[in-house]
Amino acid sequence: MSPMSEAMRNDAIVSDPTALAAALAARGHVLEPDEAARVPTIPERPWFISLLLGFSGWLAGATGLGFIAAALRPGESAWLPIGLALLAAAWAVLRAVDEANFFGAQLGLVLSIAGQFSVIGGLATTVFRHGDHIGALALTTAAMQLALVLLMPNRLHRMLCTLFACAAWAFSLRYALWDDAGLHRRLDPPAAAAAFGLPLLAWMLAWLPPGLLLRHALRTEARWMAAGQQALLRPLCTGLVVALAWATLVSDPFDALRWSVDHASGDALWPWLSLLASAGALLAAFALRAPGLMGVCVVAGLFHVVAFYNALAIPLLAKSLTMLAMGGVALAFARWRGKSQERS
Amino acid sequence: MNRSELDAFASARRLSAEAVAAALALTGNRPSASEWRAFATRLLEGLGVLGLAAGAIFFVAANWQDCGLFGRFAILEVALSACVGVALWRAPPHRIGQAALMLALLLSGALLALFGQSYQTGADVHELFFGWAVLALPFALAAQSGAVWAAWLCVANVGLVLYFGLVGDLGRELVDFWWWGRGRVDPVLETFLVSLADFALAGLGLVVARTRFGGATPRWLLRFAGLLAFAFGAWACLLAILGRDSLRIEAPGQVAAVFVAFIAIGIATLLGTLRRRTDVFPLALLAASWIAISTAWVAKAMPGDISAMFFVSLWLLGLASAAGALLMRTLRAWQGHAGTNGHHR
Repeated sequence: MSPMSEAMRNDAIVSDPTALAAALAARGHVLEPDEAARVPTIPERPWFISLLLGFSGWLAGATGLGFIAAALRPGESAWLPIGLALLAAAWAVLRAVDEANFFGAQLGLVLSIAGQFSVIGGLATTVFRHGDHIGALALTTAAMQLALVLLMPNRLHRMLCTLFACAAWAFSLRYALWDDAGLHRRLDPPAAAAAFGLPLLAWMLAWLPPGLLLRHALRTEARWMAAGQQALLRPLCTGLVVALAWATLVSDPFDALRWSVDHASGDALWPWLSLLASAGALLAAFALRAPGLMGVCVVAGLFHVVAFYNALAIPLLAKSLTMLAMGGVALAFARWRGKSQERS
Repeated sequence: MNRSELDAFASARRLSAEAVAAALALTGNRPSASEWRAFATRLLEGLGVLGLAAGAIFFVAANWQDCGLFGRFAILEVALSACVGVALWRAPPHRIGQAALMLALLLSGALLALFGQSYQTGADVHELFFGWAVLALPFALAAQSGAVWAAWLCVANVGLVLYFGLVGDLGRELVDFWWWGRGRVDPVLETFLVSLADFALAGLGLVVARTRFGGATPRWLLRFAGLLAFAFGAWACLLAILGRDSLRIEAPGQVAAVFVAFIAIGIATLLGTLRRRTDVFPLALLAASWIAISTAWVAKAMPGDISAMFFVSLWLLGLASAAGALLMRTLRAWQGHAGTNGHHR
């Protein structure tokens, strides 16, 4: 933080647009005349309303697709075109209505969710027929979600797609490195050290890109806000925070939070790294001044500790000592920081 | 001004990147260096307490034989005493004292578990959790901290859930009041009793929030208690609707009473929230609960053909849209009256 920012901080917090305009003008910044009438203001939506709408939309999309499946009984080859048609309809609806139109926005979300399920189902039954292509299917899903982040003009939709894209990306790596059912490695049996290294590498490949993207988005926030990219990048940031906190769990639902049965140390490593990721996500949520998101990250952290407890491959005593050491180091570091703060 | 308003402002006034950076700082939307330092310290403290508590609990679970029974008890009791000592040295509301009491709360559970593990007392798991809740109550009271109360609430809820999940006939009779006169308590009522306990705790929290101990019941804690209360209440109603055929529901009167009570509590919540005009979260809980319950009812009532799925989809779409619109309208009407509502997208 620059000295100027610190100086600003010492002033009273500006709380209304007129005062902000005056304060900026006083600091020599050029402001165009107020175009508020021409720029649509989308009221900020609390996280719990977004959650309510998102979950309802997801469920309505799934049941809507169930209706299509039961009513039309489409063949295997029909799912892909049906899905694309639903996505096109969702795009048209979301473009036509603004987010203040709840019914329209929700209809677009429902159509899109149904379309996404349909496209994924269509790809699974036509292009990626065999079970061992799950990794490729997940990668295609991740690419589709990224495309939808860019295409669909709706914040909630973009946030959900960002979350799903991250989960699908991690999923694709998991199936690229380990097979589908038996979790046998595709790679040659590694040495003990490699058994630790491979999950570490996989975790880094899966979660460093979203983490770095989030860090970059936060560091360049002023630039993209000035460029008018808020509608795209604001929900992207939210989605990345939720993904870093939670998607390390949801990306592996079939293996009871484990990526492999034979990577002893890796099993325990995964939730530990995920705990660090949720701590990183918590920092990002703090930077965004989003208390609801911070709560999401804290709860995710507790789940990672439970996952660490459930990791079977290393003894409980070792896990206990690991946690005690982590706790001791964190408290000592906190104490040291506190003292240095008092001195300064 | 929150970030959403700042987004609109930056677009409307075509701010440069430098001006946006200044606006973020002026409106307090970007943490200062000192705020970052303070937050990092708190995060480290949180991680530290979490690590030590988890380490102690894992240690008990590991049942390390090399340590011996005395040694294991000694380690936990010394740790617990140390926590109490630290809390006396830096008494709450000092953060160190609060952290020590959080650790003491968690360690008291580990100590009880070790006791049960070592002496095979024959106690059920729910008794462990109830004992834990009782033992930890003084720590929660002394800590004056929302986080410690949240942990206590979790312990109490787990105890209640285990009690109603594992309870035998004797337990059923204990909660089967004489005036009920049906001989048994249904799973629906059992689930709803957990909800009632949480409603009572949330109500108590609301009362405490108005006293000088209000710092111990932050809004997020009241929201958490409300979430648990509505979740168990909705679960009870969903059980009654969806589990009608599979569950042994022997007392339809109890089920009807649960619905009536949940509706009455919902109306009371609605009126109380509209009167206070501070937080729309309880209204969102109410909406979510009744969307879930009504959707389950519609799905169950519809004939089992393809039209049911179409209707359920439409029902969800319509209700969620209406709820979202109403909640946002209410929020906008209250803005400026209640301050922030935990905004983000």
